[in-house]
Amino acid sequence: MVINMSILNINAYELVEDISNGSISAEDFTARMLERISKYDERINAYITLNNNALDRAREIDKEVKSSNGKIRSKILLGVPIAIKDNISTKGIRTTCASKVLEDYIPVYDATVVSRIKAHGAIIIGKTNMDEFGMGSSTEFSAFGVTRNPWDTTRVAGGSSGGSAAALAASEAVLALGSDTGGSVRCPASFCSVLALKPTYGLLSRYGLISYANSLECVGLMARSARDLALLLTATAGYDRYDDTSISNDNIDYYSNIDNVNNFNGMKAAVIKDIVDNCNDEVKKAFYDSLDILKDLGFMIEEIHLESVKYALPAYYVIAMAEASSNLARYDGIRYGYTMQPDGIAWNTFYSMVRSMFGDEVKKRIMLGTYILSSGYYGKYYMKAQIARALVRDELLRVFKDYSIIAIPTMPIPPFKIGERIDDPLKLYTVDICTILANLAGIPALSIPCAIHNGLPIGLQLMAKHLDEQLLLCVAHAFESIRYVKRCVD
Amino acid sequence: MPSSNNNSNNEHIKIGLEIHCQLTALKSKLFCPCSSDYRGKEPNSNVCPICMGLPGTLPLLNKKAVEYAIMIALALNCSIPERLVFYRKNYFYPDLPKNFQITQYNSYEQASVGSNGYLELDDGDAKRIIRIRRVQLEEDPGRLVYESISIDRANYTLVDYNRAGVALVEIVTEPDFNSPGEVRVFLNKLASILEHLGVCNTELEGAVRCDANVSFADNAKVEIKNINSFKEVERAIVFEITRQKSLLARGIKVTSETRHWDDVRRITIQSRAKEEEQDYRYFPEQDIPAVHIADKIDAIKEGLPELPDEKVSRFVREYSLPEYTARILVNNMYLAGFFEECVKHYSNAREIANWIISDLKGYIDRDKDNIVLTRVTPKHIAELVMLIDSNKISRSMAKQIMHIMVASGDMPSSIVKNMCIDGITSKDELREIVKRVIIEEQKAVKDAMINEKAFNYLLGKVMRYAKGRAEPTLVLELLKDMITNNK
Amino acid sequence: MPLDVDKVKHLAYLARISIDDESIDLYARHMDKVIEYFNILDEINSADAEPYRISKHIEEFRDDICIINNEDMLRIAKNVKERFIKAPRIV
Repeated sequence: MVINMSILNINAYELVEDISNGSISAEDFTARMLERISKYDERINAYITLNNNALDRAREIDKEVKSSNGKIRSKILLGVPIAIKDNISTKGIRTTCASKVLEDYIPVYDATVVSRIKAHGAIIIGKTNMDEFGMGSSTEFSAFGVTRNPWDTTRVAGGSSGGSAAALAASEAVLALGSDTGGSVRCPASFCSVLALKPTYGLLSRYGLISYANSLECVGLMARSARDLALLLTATAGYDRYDDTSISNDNIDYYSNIDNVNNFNGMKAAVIKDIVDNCNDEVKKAFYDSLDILKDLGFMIEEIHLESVKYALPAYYVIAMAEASSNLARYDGIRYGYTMQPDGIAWNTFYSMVRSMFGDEVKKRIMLGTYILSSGYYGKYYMKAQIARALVRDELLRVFKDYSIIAIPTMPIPPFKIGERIDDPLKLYTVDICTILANLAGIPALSIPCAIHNGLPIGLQLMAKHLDEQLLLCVAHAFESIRYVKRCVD
Repeated sequence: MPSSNNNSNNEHIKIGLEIHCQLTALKSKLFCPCSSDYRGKEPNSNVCPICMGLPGTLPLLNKKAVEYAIMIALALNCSIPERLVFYRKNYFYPDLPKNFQITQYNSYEQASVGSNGYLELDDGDAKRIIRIRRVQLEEDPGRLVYESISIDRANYTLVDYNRAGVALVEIVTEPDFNSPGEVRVFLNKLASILEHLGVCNTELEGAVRCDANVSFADNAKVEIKNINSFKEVERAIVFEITRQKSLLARGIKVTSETRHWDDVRRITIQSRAKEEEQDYRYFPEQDIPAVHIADKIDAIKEGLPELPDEKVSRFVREYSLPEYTARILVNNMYLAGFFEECVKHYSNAREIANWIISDLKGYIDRDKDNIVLTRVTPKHIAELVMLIDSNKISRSMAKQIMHIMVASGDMPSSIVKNMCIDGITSKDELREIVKRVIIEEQKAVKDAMINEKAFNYLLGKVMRYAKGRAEPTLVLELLKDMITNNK
Repeated sequence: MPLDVDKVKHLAYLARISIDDESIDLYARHMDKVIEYFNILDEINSADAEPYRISKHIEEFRDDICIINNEDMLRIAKNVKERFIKAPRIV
């Protein structure tokens, strides 16, 4: 089959239109995409598992279209192949978190976000590679191999949702779900030249998102256009009674409203000087170019200084590791997952043997988290970190009283070489400096490609106050109408 | 009442309790919608992804459980915070699906439902105050089952998670008890409070568990775990005090340790597993937002059912009952209600109360099949007392009528009518009736000499055939006589 | 206080993770560096702010309704005996 690449690069909203009116067959499109994956994925290793039922589902959708006579208008993701990060629970489809500990774990339930996209007619193409349990910023810490950046396969795709971003950039999916604990959808989006949205904490249900750091993380959305992000958000957002931290958004239709605002005259955008100054030169240049575009859109740009930024990264890691040490305690092989015959083995030994299957980075973070929470240290680390976090949140909320958005680069550096940063933990952790602020404060943040420099993608990050996703999407949509950076490799 | 011989030996006994009560009145578990009633179900059939700790699942707080916990905290005179916070207690154990327990913890803040409460004990003339350190909500773990009799020889453990996630309220007292008897009084009162609140049926198997800390004469404190019913607690403590006393008498120091109560052998035994020092690494449960309750507390307080102490005071006040009588009635919630219904029909409350606690209660206590109360209603007792007061019957006749009433369910007035007006049946006629009944009811006759229920049944049958026109004492005599001489 | 090998061994035990002897030194060095980095939080004063937390009103939580789960949870457990889950011995 000759694959017409341009068709695989289609936007989701266009594909839905074409499938709904019968001009494209869902089965045909899905088959082409699977063909693309089978030919190309070994180069980048974006997928861990492919969904055997994808074509069947596509066929069902074509049947529905034939017999519905336009009644499927309500299914806004009809026939769209979606890649799902492998830490999101998919019923009947292996979900590994890129870990040997869950190598053959098959969930008995769907995550809420998965149920919702399925209800909207989406097709799950497969489960994507990631850093084990979400712990990493490069997708180098996977038990299933590294995911390579489609733009330069000697470099990382970013992490921890590297597989999802790479799949989009390589035309191996049309939309993707990821998760974002400290930048895990924004970082790979920036490195792979696609878009990502980390929503307000609680806006997307976490039921089915396998926990790493539960007070920080969200399901993240990834796409190749702002309209597509809006479509995906409309399909997945809103209160879920299976998640006590879930919040309501009054059923906003982000997609229909995306053209409403395209002139931002009178709005102010804040730039956090402390962060931009620590980015490398190529990133700075691309960033300042992007600011010009924001000005063209009507924004008034001002530099601000945030006191609490210097505590943000240590606070983030203290909280993330402490929570990880507790969230990963359940993996003892008894109820599910990797295990061995327990006969004759003492329970402490058994547990340690099963849990020795974690990768080194996971083990380190669990032990650091254990240390942070251990007797006598709670006040020194975790409690102080949560206070620092409150300071960050309060400072950002004060900023949003005067500014509509905050603009900073997504990543302080362009995509780095595979292996370059894995020997020095701090060297790896510090790449998160731009992204963790949004997780600490629970606010929405979006990354949009703003330049490709020397063949390497660079992303612009926009943040807004709680539940202001519509504004971010409108700005992103307006931005890409002026500066459209290539999304897919050839 | 605490027995006086304990008081005389009260050389600085200090006892503290940690009580776990399941909220058996809930329909679902604390953090998932599985049924809270796990008893008698096939292993691992009362579970779901949440209580099995499957990856990606989140706890869903049962708000009724919070309401019940607040009720308990209020009944124990605790101070209640404006918002509740849940914490994780991290440790590894096969019965813990997530390898942490969601509970509450007050070392960093006032997180639990109640703190600094108290319960007053009536200790004869003295009033004793037992301080309540805290009341908290937490989840029950699963159950471990061993195949071999000895845990030491088991090659593996079997786990059933049906109980995992059931709501528990933990009540911790200060070490204010000075005798095992006081503990018994306290637990009786607590059980009565829980019954009146309607939140925990303490009679259900496994519904309550108790740990006790016992120290004697300023020696080391020993913790006794695994006491599975309120009734066993006093026994366990008495044993432990005796054990400690005998050690000290032999010049051996009491070591601070954890012991388990073996309710079969009725002894405390040293804990099998080496009790490692546990570092539980408590920190807040971030999957459950802090629960704002401040504006609900008054409404819950107002809606509280009448508590035992209040009811006793009210019975004394409204019905002019002596406190002793009131306490016996209130102690059995059903009887207290029965009593109040009686008084609605006839106002001599004191007499009614006496007849209930000195007569009816005896029948009820012996009535294993719970038939008596299907036959005897408040109207029955009210009428009986009324007949006595109007001199229509004597007290001794009333006792006999009670006996018949319990067996037949007939109203006292109809029993009296049949007895008095048309004259009493002759002895010969009676003998024929008794003979007839004995022939008809061979099985009951067989049981009658050992089983009072069967005897009463025969008596009732005779009285029915005699249309009540028989003197009960005569019938009793004839029946006994003819049964023993019958083959 | 530096995070030494003994401390790491103890933490590994608390977390029920086994690490082989060759890796322990590397772990200790990495972890020590990270903890060192966290010490900047000492500058924060406990009185600076209330610790970050989200809250909800009690009415927003789940009603006490029982829902039966019909999926068999034992499907994904590998060591099962007569519907019990087999676990290692605890002594």
